[in-house]
Amino acid sequence: MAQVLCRVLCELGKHPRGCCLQGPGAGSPQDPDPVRKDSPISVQEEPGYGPQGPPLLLLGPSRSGKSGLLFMAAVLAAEEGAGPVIFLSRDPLQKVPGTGRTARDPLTLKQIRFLYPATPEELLRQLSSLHLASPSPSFLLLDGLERYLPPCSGPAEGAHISALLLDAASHLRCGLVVSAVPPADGTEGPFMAVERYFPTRCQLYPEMTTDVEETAAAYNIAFSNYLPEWILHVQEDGKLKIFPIKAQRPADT
Amino acid sequence: NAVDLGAVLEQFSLVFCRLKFIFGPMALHALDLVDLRSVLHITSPCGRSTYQVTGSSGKTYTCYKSCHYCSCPAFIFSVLRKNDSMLCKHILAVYLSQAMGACQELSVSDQQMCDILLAKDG
Amino acid sequence: GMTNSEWKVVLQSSCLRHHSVITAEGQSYFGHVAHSLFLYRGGLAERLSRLQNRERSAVSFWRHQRDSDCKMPSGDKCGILMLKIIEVHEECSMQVALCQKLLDPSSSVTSSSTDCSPVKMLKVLFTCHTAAQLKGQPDDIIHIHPPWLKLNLRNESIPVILNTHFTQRVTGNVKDSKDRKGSAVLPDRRRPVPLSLVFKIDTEPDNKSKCEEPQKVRVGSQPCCQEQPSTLNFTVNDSLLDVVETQGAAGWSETSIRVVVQRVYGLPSRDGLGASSAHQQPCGGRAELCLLIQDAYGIFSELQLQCNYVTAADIENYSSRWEGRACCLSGMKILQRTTRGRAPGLFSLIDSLWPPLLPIKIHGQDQGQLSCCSEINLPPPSFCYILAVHHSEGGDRIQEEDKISDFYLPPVVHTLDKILQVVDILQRCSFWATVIYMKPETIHSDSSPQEDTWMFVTDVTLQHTSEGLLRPRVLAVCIPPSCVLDLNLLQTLCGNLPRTLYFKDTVKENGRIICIERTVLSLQKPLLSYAAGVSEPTGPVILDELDSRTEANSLCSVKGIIIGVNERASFSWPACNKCGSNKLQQSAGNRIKFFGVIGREVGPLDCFVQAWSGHPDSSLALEEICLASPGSG
Repeated sequence: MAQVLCRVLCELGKHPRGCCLQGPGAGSPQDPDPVRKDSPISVQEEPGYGPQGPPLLLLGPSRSGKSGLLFMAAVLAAEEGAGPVIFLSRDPLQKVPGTGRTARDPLTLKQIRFLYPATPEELLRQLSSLHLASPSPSFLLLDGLERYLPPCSGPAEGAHISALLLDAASHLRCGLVVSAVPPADGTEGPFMAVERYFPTRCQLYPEMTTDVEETAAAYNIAFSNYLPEWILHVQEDGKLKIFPIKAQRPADT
Repeated sequence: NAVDLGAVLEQFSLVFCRLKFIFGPMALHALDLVDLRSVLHITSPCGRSTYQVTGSSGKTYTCYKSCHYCSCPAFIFSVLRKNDSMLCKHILAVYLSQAMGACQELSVSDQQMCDILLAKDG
Repeated sequence: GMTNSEWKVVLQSSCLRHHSVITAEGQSYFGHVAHSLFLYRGGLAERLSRLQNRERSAVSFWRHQRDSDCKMPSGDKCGILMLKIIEVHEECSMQVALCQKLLDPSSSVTSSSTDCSPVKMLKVLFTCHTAAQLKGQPDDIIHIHPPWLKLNLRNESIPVILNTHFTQRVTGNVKDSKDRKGSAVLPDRRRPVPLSLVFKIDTEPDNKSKCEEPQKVRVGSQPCCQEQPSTLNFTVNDSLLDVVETQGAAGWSETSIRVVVQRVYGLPSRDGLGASSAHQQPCGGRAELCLLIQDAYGIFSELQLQCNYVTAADIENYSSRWEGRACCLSGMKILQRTTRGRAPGLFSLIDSLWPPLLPIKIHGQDQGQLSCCSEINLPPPSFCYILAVHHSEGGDRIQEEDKISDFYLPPVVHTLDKILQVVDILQRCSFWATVIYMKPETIHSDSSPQEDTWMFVTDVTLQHTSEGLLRPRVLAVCIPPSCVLDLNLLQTLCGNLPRTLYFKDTVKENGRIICIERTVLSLQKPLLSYAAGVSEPTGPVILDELDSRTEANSLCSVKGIIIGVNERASFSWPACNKCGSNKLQQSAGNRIKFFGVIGREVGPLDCFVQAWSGHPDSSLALEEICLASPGSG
C-alpha cells in the first residue's frame, strides 16, 4: 500500500486523545484478511519498489479532495528529507489545499518541485528525464492524470504514460501516487490501460448520508477490494475532514 | 563439439514445448527474434535501462524493464484491449534473450536515454 | 494472481545454461534486413516449428482415433490422469481448471469424508483449442492422456499440469453431450492480469553475452557472418523427422542419421515399365533391396537401396550383415510419405514391431524426467517415410556397427500349433517348418513365378497332434508373385523335398498363411526360435483326411471305394467312406489310372485338392501326389 497516503489519512483522522486510527493492514491486494486491527502501519519492503511500497492510483470524482490529499502526501514525504518531491499537474494548484496542517518547517515546502507539463508529450518528456535530476527525487506525484488523456486518445496513450510513470518510479526507487477522475462510462479508451498498470488503488465515491453539514460533500474511502472504512468530508472552502465509518464520531483536523 | 550441442538442443526441446503450450504461436515468433539477436539492452551511466526489439518488419519497438509495455500494435490490441495474452512477442523475446544471454548490449548517455524512453518507433 | 507466478516459474525453470554466443563487440543493432516469413534456418524457432508440426499431427491423429474409437481399452490405464473438474475459468485465452484427482478409476464419486488422505488437487491448463473441444464444466470427469507435464511451483501448493492436448471428457451422459453443443455456460473470464509485474530471470554470471573465447559452441549464427549452413547440420542426428523436415523434398541430405535396421527384405522391382508383374526378367528374380529402419524416437522409415544389381539371393547376405544392427546412414533422399491406408502391407510389418522393446525418446520430453507415458499407451505410427539411398560396395553411405542393437526386435519364431492358436488374423508371424509339397512342382529357372506358388508345411507340433483337436496336420502357404522369392531357393526345393525352411514375417489368414511383400524365405535356421528344441518330423507325413471341411489348394488323404468309372475320360469315382457325401473326381493329370476298378478299395492316397465345383454336383477335383518322406532323396 502506499504508506504515505495511509499516513495522510491517519494524520487527517488523528483523534485528539492521541489514538491513531488504524490503517489497513500492509498486505497485498489479494490478501483475504485486509484489516488487521492489531498491526500499526509499518513500512513494508516489497521487491522492485522503494520503501514506500507499490505505486498507488487514487480515483475519485472531481472536487472530491484528491488534490488535497496528494498535497498532504507531498508534504509528509518532503518532511522525510529523503530527497526532492516531484509534484506534476497540468494546471497549477489554485491555492494550497486546506488540509489545515502546514509543514512544521517552511523550508520543507521548498523541497517540493511543482512541475506543470501542458501536454501529454511534455509529461512524457518530464518522466523520461527524471533520471537527470540531481539530487534524485524521493517521491513522485501526479495530480489529474485524466487531463492528459483526452477522449480522442486510446489505450496506447494511457499505457505509455502509465508505463513510463512506473519505469521512472522503479528506477528512482521512489514512491508514486497518481490521482485521476475515472471516465463516466465504459472501460474503453485510455483509462482501461491505466488500470492495468495500477493494481493498487484507492477509491473515493460519493456517500449519501443525512448527517452531514450542508456545505460539505462526503465520500467513502475504499482501498482495493476493501470495504470503506472512512468518510472524507470536503467542505466548500476546501477543508478536509475524515471520519471513520464504524466509530461514527467526527475527529477534528 | 557435437555432444555439447546435442545436449543443449535436447534441453531446448523440453523448454520449448512448455513455452509453446503456454504462449502458443507467439513463442515461435519470439524465438525467431532471439535467433536473429533482435533484442537490444540499452544502459546509461545513471543506471536507467530499457530494451529495444527490432521487429520482423524492421521497425524497432521499445520495451520497458520494470513493467510490461511495448510500443507495438499487437501489444495494444491483444494485451490491452482483448486480454488474450499478458505479453507480446517482443516482450517474450526480451525474457528469452535475458535467459539465454542473447541480448545485444548498447551504452548511451543519460541524455540519449531520455529520447529512447520516449519510445518513438524507429 | 495464480497465473502470474506460474508463468514466472515456467520462465525461471526455462532458464538455460547457454554456452556463450558469439557477438561482435561494440556492434549496435539498429537497422536490420527485413526478412520474410520463413524462419532463420538452423535456429531455435525453426526447431520449435518442427516440434509444433509434429505435435499437431500427433494431436490430430489422437483426436481422430479417439472419435472413431468409441470404447476405451479397459486394460492398462497407467499414465492417464483421471480428474474431476471442480471449477473452470478463463485467463488470458487459456482455460484454467481446478481439478480433483480421482482415486478409483472406475468411480466418478469423490473420496468420502471419512477418507483420511488429503484430496489431491491439480490446476490444469488448457489451450483455447483444447478447451473448445472439451467444453469442460464443473463435475465433469476428464482423462488426460500422456504425454502431459506436471510442474510443481515454488510458493504454490497445487501443482500445475501442462501439455494437455490429449484430453478427453468421459461423462456417461450422452444426452448431456448433445446439450453441450448449444449454449453452454461459458467459464468466467478473470480480471485482466496487471501489467505492472515483471518476471525476474535468474542468470548466472557466466551467462552474459560477452565472450572471451570465441570458439565455443554456436547455436544459430549471426546473419551477417559468412558461414556455411552445413556446419551446423553436420552432426549425427538420431531423429528421422528432423532430417526429413530439414531437408524437404529436394536433394540428397548431408545429414547423417543413426538408426536400427529392423528388417531387410526385397520388394518387386519397379522398372518404370509399369507395375506389371508379368514382365519377364531375363536374369530372373530382380528385386529392390529395402531396409525397415527405426530411429531413437520410434519412427519407422522404409529405405530403398539403389544398387547396381541385386537379386533376391543377395537379400540373405545383406540381412545377415545389417539386420539388427545400428547403422549410420547419410545421403538419403525422401521419396514419399505414406500412410496406413495406402500401404497396409508395410504397416502390418510396422505393427509387428510395436510397441518398441526399449523406451523411446519423445520429442519435447526430458529423457531423464519422470516420464508419465509408457510405450503401451503410445499408438503405433500412422505414417512412414519412404527414403532412398545409393549403395555401392565399399561405399560409406551405410555404416553398420558391430554388435546387435538393443533396440532390435527380432521376429518371434513360433511352432505351427502356436501360429494357429495364438496369432491373430492379418498379423505378421514367423515360423520354421518343413515343406513337404510344393505346387507347381517344377520351377522355370529363368523367371519369377507368374502365378501363385503353394507350399505345404508341417512340423512336429501339427503332426503329433492328438485326436480330437480340430487342428490341421498340414498348413498351406500361398506365395503370390508379389512376394520376392529367391529362385535359387525354389530350385533347391524342387525335387529336394521335404526341406525345412524359415518363413519370416508372413501373414496369417483364415486357416492358411500368405507370404506378401516383405516376407522373406530362407534356408537359414533362425537363431532365436521357440521351435529350437523341437525336432523335425521323421517318418512319413500324415495328411488330414478328406472331409466336408477340406478346402481347395490343400493336401488331403483320401480312401474309399470306387463306385464308377468315366471311361471316356478315364475317371473313376471313389466315394469317400468317411463322409460319404461327396463324389470324388480325379483329374486328368493323374498318374494312376484305374481300370476295372469298380468295387475296388482305394487309398489312402495323398492328394492335392484342386477345386470344388458347384455344378452339377458338388465335387472335388483331386490330384494324386507323391510325398517323399523325410530322410529320403
